[in-house]
Amino acid sequence: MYCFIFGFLFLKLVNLNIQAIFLLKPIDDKTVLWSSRDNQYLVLENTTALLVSKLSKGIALEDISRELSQELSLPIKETTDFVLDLKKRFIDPGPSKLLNKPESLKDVVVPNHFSIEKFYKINEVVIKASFESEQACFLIHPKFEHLEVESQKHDFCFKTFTQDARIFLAVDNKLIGSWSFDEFHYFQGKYSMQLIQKIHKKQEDKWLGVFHASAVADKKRAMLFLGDSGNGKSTSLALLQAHGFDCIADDFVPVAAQSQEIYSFPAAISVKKTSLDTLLPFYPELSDSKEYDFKVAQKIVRYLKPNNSDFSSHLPCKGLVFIKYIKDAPLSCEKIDKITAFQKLVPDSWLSPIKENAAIFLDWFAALDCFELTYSNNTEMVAQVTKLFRDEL
Amino acid sequence: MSKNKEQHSKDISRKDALKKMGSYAAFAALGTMIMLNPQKAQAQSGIDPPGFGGGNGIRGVRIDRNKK
Repeated sequence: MYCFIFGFLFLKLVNLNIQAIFLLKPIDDKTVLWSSRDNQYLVLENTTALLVSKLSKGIALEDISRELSQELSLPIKETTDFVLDLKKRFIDPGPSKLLNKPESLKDVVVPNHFSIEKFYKINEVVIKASFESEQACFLIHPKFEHLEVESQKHDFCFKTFTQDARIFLAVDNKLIGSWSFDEFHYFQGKYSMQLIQKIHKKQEDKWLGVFHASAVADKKRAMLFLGDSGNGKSTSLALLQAHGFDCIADDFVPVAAQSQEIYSFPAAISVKKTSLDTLLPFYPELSDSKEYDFKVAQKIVRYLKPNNSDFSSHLPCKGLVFIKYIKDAPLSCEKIDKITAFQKLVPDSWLSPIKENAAIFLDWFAALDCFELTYSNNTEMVAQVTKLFRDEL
Repeated sequence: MSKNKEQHSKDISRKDALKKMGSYAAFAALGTMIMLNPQKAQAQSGIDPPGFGGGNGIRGVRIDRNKK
């Protein structure tokens, strides 16, 4: 009976009073529940998800508990405690974490003078990037240096400056946000987000999410490569582009909501010192390229220009590959279950908090194939990815 | 003698015991949920400029076993 009711409900958006909206999506043998309160995803047993949806519809706690008690042949007290707990957690939770007051930028004045000015040409769009200091420039420029052009008429102006130990970003003199120095990853993320909005002409609400991954394409479709730092996402991307694949994005992979296509992000590929020997035979230019020593992150990197000069490209996603480099490991590549993949994907991604986009994200993810690729030999890895693109797994 | 009889009447069969265990196992499983929080904003990984401290994006997953 639960299955029947659940089957009826799963595609519906369930209104929870006025406070929260839930989405329910069956994935494998679980149900993923999205809550609008904190833009949070929960993996639940199907029965639990059904109980939450019943509570959200205002069905009496006593009725739900009694039905569960009969279904499981358990004492009513135990099921009542459980349903009550669900009610507290989902229906009457405390204040949302997302209800923090937005920062006030009204007293901040965008400076007029900037000591460093760069011009980046991305397709036909020219961005003037002004930086108040070398430090501010260092946060952005290395990844976009390959796009630099001579000073010229620009379409948009991005200004980066600091005040009171915070980094500020203004686009066309409109303040976008500010971040403390130790949140500079978010400053860089917002800068990139503003860039893709300008080059792909889509505002933030038109994006499904941004994934911490590399994206590789075979002209028709793209695949996302995900994994913790040190597992070879960027190195694999550089190797794959040396073997005829296109680089769509490194580190910051935007996916549009309407088409669910992966969009190009024009930043250079970061190559760690430890990968230089592997990549030099394919990219001799790396031997002369500038080296950046990021002491806090304990990384020494160089930047490699992507082989793709058309940064307007966007392609459907063929699948997700969780890549893992293990020294001396034999090559293995297998499909993994969606729930495992979901757990790896979500905490590392920015996902739009808009209800419609969250629903699209769940549908998009549920239809994707997810793989885990473990390798130690680069030639084998390239051959295996080629097979994946050809559906020869 | 009558005390023994009473004791026996409180026992349950092996079949019933297994059934009950199954019910409790299914019930306990209902309380297992995995909470996943996406990044609070768009972020980029990993580099730090000289003079700007080194922070880290909040990349985390919490597994909550609401055991019954």
